[in-house]
Amino acid sequence: MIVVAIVFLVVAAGCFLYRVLRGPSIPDRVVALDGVLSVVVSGIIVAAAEANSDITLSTVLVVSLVGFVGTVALGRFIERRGG
Amino acid sequence: MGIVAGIFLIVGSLLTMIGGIGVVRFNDLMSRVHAAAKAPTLGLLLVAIGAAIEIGSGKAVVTLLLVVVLQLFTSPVATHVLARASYGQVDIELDGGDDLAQHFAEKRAEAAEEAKAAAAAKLAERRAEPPRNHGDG
Amino acid sequence: MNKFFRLPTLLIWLTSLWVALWADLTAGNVLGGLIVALVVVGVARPTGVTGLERTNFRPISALIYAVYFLWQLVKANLVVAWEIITPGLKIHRAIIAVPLHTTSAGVVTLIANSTTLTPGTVTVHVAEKRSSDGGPVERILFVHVLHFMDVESVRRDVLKLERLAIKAFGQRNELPRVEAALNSTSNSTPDGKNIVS
Repeated sequence: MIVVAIVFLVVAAGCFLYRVLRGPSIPDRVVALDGVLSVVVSGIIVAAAEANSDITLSTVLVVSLVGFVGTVALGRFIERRGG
Repeated sequence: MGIVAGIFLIVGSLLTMIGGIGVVRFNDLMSRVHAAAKAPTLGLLLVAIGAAIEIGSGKAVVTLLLVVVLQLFTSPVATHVLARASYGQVDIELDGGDDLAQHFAEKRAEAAEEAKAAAAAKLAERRAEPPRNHGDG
Repeated sequence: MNKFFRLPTLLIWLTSLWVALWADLTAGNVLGGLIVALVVVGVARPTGVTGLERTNFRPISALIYAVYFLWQLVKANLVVAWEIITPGLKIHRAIIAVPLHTTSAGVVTLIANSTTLTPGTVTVHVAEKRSSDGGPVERILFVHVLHFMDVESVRRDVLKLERLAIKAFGQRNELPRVEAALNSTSNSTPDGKNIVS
């Protein structure tokens, strides 16, 4: 059952990574990178559910907050330097 | 694994995947933002509910609740920052009207008007001043 | 929020966030959280501008808002997912200005955030417009719409959200203006250029 969820997440990561590589503009890549990060977050949560343990859940908080700060920083960069 | 938890995990992952497909399929930046902003947020919410049901410990429930609440607050902010930063820098296809372009045009006109007024005031001030003495007279 | 309650509220909020991060309610965690909260408040040195001026908190209305928001979030996902999985793109995009009626920066932030997660709309920009006669600052929300039909329906959706947000977190004396704007959008001119009050 968990395999289905993992396959979906792998396909999602592939789609987002395709957009990261293709672009065409920097904002497109940043949007896609944000998506990759949310796949990573979902993946960690699914792995925690599979292992039935809550040890790894703290990393989820760190990853999602670092991702948010990174996206906002890139947004400011784009605003100043152009896409 | 419990059936209910499994269904939550699968539907959440499915939504994230649909968001990914949307980011590949849509043909301009703002449409991609629509796909990337909404689907993964609800997807993460459902995955977190599934994991909370499956693990069931207090620590897991509190941490996942915190993750979901922070995600609901931060993901729209990140989207908003990106959308505003890339407006006017990346070509955005619009089929309907664009009120924002109109707004920025008005703003620019206002700023130009103000700059003009300031320059005129400065000029008038300089004219009003007595001419400075050059050289040793 | 009352000025007198602002600092204790902030400390309680930061401390409970710290305890939630540890996910363990012990005396040591509460004490550590309180110390960290004091240090954070001391270092960040609140300037008095929090965006929480003229905001309230009404638990029942806030619950109604949360339920309405979650329902809108599910609906938004169904709309976007349907657009993605059906072949062909039937999208019609536009950026629409929506004048808001609340004077509280916190409520505007909440509405802008929620609008991004409700069906078919993403907030792009918030503009402030100072009225010429020195009245309150008017804020205009610019939303990008994926399935654009007409200006009225977009504004109606955002105004419904604003009505619930003001009921939960804003000032009640701002409600009549939202109601008036809602009534004028539901049965007036289709081009709708004149709803700015």
